[in-house]
Amino acid sequence: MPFRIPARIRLTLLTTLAGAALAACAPHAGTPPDAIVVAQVAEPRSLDPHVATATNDFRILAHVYEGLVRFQPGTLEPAPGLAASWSVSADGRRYTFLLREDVRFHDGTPFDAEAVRFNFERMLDPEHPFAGTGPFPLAFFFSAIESIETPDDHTVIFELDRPYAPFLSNLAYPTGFLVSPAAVRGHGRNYGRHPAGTGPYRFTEWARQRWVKLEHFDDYWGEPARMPRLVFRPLPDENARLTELLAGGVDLVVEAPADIIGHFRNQPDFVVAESVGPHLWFLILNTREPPFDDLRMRRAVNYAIDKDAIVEDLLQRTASVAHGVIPRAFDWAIDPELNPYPFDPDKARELIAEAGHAGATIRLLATESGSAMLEPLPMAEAIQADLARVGLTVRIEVFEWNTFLARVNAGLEGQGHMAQMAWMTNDPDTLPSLALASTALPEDGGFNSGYYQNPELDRLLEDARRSTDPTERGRIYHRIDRLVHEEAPFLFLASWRQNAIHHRGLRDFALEPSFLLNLSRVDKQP
Amino acid sequence: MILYILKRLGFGIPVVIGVSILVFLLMALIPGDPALALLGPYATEENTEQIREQLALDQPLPHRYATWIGNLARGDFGYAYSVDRAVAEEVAERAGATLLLAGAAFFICVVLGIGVGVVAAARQYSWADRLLSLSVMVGISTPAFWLGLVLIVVFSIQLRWLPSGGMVSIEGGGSVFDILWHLVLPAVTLGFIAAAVVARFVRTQMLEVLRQDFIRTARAKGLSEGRVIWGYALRAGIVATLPVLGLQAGFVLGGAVYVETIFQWPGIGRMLVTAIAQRDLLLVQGGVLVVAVFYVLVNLLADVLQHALDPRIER
Repeated sequence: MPFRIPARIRLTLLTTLAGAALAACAPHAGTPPDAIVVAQVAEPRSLDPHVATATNDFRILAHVYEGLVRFQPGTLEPAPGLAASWSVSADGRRYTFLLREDVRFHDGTPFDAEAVRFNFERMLDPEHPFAGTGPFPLAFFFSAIESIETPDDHTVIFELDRPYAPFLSNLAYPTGFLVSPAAVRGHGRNYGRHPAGTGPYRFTEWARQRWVKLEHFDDYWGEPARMPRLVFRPLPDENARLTELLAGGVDLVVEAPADIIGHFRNQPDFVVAESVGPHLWFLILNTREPPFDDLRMRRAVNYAIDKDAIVEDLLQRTASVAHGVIPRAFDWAIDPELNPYPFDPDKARELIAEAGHAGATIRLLATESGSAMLEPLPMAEAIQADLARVGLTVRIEVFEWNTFLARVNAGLEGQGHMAQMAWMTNDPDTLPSLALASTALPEDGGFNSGYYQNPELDRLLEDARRSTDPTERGRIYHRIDRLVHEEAPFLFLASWRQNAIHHRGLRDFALEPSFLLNLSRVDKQP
Repeated sequence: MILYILKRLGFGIPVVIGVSILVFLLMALIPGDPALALLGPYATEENTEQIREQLALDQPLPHRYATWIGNLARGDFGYAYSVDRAVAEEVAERAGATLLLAGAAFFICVVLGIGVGVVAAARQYSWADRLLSLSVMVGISTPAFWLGLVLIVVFSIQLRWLPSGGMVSIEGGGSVFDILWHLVLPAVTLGFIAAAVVARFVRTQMLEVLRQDFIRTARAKGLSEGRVIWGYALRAGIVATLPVLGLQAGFVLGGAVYVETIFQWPGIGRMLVTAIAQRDLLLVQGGVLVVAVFYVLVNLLADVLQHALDPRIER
């Protein structure tokens, strides 16, 4: 008897086929033509710029908010933002900002001097009625503010307790973005989910695990944004971000892994964008204990590492070799004549022998992964191999990121001779004054875990902070750059190049050295 | 029957308690300070202390476990810092997505598994049987994450028929059709692999049943072969298959963890992966506990059904 498919099964089969046919007729997967869809690495924590600390969140915030000053596109130099102009007193302690008069927040309330005062007092004054809408982890950026005066609706005067030139860069950073006081009053602790700023895009929706949507702000004071909408999708899985890009679910992916970038470079439908960033990956050297209390040893290890090989092969050119403590992104602050320590194992061996530490054993504290740490374990192993070639035995001790941070921040004494570390900064002052100044020793709550102390460096850092003339300030940083390079309190390794991959249809996209995204000038063609 | 259900429910309780202890211990063993991991590098001493206190991190383990269970008994799952909302709220929202995915996958598993198993048994040693048995072997040995990626490459990247992830479209999403459209790939990935095991079991089971006397009697009565197989043999064979289906329902729930990650399905599985990385202890514990309860209930349901369908099993 022939085997016949029974009616019920036939029905199921037909339904399945019909379903498949429907799926085939469904609108093609693809991003909406009037929106740029960005793949984010994680769900945002908060859209309150004073609460947020992650670059991932900053990329959204940079479209919703603005500060008194902003980084000039393509640079890290402060330029007028919500303040049309400013002046600094001769002693560097009094900053007077003249505000733009045509600015409104997204909720319709006017932007004025009182709004500016509200923003900084909320962050800095624990007695402020809305201090409870925090915590504000990066408020220390503005800890130099002693008082805020508002002589009229469009003038704000900050009185600082000491001269502090990085103040301007800090104002351009997301922590300096200005929120609508009315929106904070209205939403209280939930403000971070109902943000209102003055930027070219206004917030419309945050659907957990799905997206944050922004829409063109019609009353924007400046040049209007080109695309009507922006959508930020959290896609924590690395592969998911790339399959979504290939399948047409997103237009733009940031922070693509090293080995994927190469694959996309050869694809005609995609563009790989790269840019330097204010990032430094280095090893802290413990200068309080032998062997790195000896300058010759510190220089020796800088010569011993084949940094080009690490950057080329291991990091696949997603980073560039670093020459000193100031990342190349601050082009106005680096000494143009300085080059990275060349790879010279012979010279390293010579210096080690001279210092009498041939055959020494070095303890290197490392981590598995961490914010901006690139590929810490393979990098530790490459360093271990290079130092073995010059006769130093490296013992790598690995810790989970937060445990690692707690250990390293406590100071290296008795724990290790070198430790991995990476910083992202917004001003050339940040890293040296928080991690190399005598005032920043771990026992005083600073990040100088290698105990480097040099009165000349302290004096130069202080001078740079007092200097209100950008050219003079730049010249002081050139001297700092050279001094730190020669003294080698760190093993300088690499600066991360940020990257992004986008569909060819996105026009005029460029990465900013600040790591903040700026899509308001970007256009999209089908 | 009610007594039986109560008895079986009673057996489920130690399983759930065991799971709760296990997941609690595992989370306690993972290195790293949960308070620091939750707050990130800018944690202030004050905030860290506050969270340590709320999670009772300074207390001995048995005390912490007792506190957690005590709160659970009062219906308080605690607060999930990583997502800034109550654990119960987060888990409830995610459980819906997981149940939808697992339900669809289970449906595919039952229809495909039983269908293939029966056809292969009815036509033993035919080309159809060989082909289907080969597919079953492939299905059993294929890891879900690989199958998922292959389906994405074919249907999302090459053909552009189906979305490669997510649950709703950015534009005008949220309709039933839109969600089903997003459901196809993850449900097929999960359901296909679960179906393979069922198909193999059903085939064996059916081969045994088809050799029995009552089948010969049915054929002798002149019933059509279709009627004999789908009406008589399957009914006898399905009873023994029920526990396997119960197990597969568990597999589908567990498999959701990686399928949800591949397809960014906003369910409990993806939530757990993120929560573990962020050391959100209460969220992980709450999520795993809910999955364990589902698992116990599904298996209970399978057993009860088996009893209802097969009068020979002792109550």
